[in-house]
Amino acid sequence: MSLTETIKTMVKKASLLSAALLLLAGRPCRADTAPGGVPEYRLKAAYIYKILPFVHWPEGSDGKGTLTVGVFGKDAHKAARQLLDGKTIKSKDKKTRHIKVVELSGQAVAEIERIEAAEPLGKCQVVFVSASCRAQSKKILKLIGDRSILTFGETDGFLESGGIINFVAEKKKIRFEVNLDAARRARLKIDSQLLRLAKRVVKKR
Amino acid sequence: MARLQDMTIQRKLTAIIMLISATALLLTGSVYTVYEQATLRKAEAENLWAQAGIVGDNCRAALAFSESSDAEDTLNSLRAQSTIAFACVYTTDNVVLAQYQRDEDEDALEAPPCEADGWRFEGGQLLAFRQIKHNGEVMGMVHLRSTLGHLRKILARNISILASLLLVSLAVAYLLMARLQRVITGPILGLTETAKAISQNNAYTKCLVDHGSDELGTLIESFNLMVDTIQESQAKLIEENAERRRAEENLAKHLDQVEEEVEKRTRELRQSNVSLAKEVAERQQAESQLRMTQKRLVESAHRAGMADVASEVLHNVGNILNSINVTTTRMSEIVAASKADALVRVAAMLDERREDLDVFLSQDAKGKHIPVFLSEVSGLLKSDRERLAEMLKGLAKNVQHIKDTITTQQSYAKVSGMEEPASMEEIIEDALQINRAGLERHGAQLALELDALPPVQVNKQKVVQILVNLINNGKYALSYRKGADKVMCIRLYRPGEDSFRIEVVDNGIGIAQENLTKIFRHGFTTKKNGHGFGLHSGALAAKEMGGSLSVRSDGPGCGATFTLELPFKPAVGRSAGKTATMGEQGTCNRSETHE
Repeated sequence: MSLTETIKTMVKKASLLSAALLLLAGRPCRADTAPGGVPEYRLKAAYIYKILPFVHWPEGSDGKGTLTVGVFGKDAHKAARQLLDGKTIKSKDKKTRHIKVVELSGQAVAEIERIEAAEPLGKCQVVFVSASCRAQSKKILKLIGDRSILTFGETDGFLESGGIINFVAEKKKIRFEVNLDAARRARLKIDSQLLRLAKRVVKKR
Repeated sequence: MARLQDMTIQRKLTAIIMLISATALLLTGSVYTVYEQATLRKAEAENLWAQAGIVGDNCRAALAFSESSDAEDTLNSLRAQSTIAFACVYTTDNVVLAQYQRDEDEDALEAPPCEADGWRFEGGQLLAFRQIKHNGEVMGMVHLRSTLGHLRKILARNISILASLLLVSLAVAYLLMARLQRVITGPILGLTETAKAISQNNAYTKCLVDHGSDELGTLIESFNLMVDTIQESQAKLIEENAERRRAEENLAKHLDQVEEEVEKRTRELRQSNVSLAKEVAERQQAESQLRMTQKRLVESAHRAGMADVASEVLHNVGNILNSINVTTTRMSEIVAASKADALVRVAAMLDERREDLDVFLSQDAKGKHIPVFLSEVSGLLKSDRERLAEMLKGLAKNVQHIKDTITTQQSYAKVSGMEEPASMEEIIEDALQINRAGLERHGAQLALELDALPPVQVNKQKVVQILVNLINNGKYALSYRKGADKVMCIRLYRPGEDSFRIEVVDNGIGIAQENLTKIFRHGFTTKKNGHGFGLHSGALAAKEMGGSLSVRSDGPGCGATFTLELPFKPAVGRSAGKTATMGEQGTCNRSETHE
């Protein structure tokens, strides 16, 4: 390798590291949370847990023995952590995976251009963008792009922005909508049985 | 079964075949039906199970999110399966999430309590409970209930098909039988007819019915053969009968002849019987004469033996008399030479010279000698007297000897046919006594080796006779021996429990080998003046007593041993001789023991 190249990689790594630190220690999203507070988030976390068996990741991108769930939003993260962290989930091929919940910073994301810089976002298989990070949601989805990451949201227009599953509160129940196109782009297969239960399935083609 | 046996062959065959066909068909049909039913039920169960799996799988999401309407929709898809009467889905808490029933117009059925994974038949329906799993985790339970009406329909259909098939088959079988049974019954009936005809008409006719070469054919062939054979043998029988009658007549004739012959023979036999009887009588006479002759011979032998003994005795007596003679001669010599005369003369002389006796005695020469002469004479007379006394003693002894010998001989002269108790030692002693003088004369030494024997039952006279003869012969043999060591040895011993032996051994002239048997022959003798009766009669007598007389000799010059063996019979009654009854009887007399 030439000297210039070496310097380039070094700079890359440094920026990554600083970004990571920023991400982790960065300012959280707005304190805007869901109306239900933590209890509602617990429900949504439970839903996520129930939905997961019905989603199939492509080969190689299922995170091996660990399913990492990244959560944007303090309250959401708290609930998710309480409910999901450490739980096991069985996949179709009888493999057991452990759920790991990580907190992601919306603020940090806002300042990053590429997902490689936005570790550990890139390492998640599932991402939940809570309402508090609404502003960053587009950016987040853009960063994620077509990667095989199951994105959950709880804001209007989440699906239109490229999110895959969006939670909708209806009366006293939580329901969900599915963007099948986004799922297809992310090469994620969603069981038709689940789709049956969805309030709305977005499918252009 | 008895009724079956009484039916005609035709009916029998038909009935049997129909029965067998029906049985076979029924068996096949029922087995098949049962098997089919079982298979169908199994298939039905598997089918239901699969359906439960499918439906359950489709309810996973509904169960996960407790969406009962979605579950209901899924269950409703079971309408396609008309046999499913009821279905429902349970959550993991065994709570019914959704249910379905085929008959909508009926009231909602109650879902049964959830059961364990599996299926079973109950009351004409099939029930299945199956777990709903998602990625290995149990999410709930699905239950399906199916009616089996269609199975019953199939069964009914099968049975009706079977029944009609059975009837058709039986009909066909019957028709076939009607035509084909003739193959079997035809020949049988034909044979039956023929047999009947034979027994009714008593005439043997063949069976001429059409037949093949199977067993029935063989039967008919054999039957016909039999008929032929019977006919043949009948003909033969008739012939034989005729022959027999002829033979019988012949036989009758022969019988008469034979009877005549038999009578003739009987007469002849009777005659020869009579002559035989005569012959037998004659023979018996001859036999008795023989016996008498034998008796006389025995007697004569006996007498000869006796004569032997007597002659011996006389011989001995003669010897003794000789010595008596000698003694008396010498005594008379002594007496003749006695100086008693001289004494008489001296006494006469003294008497003559009575008056001048003192002058005579002192002055006469003769007179002076007289005292000396007197003393001499007295001495002589004394010695004469001593000598005479001695000789007289001897004489007396000899006379006693003669007396004894004669007494002995007399005692043995009595009838000698009875066994009596006796001591063998005494008998031997007696025999010796008779011969003793002779033995001494010949200078033979006598040795006795007598074992102690208890008294025995024995014919004393005979034994003594034999022994006397033996000793005599021995003495005669010894007389030819040169030298001074003539020995006669007499042994008495028991070789065994049943017998005893007396051996008379001498070392005299011996017996030539060729004479060893001849000596026992009547009339054979090697003595100059022998009569040849002794050993013969001795052997006979020994035989009569149940014993034997035998001889051993090593040849001329080697002496001989005569052995008299007799059966040992212990004495019965009073024991013999000097050893007994002295006190009782007062006198010991041999004749007294002989009773």
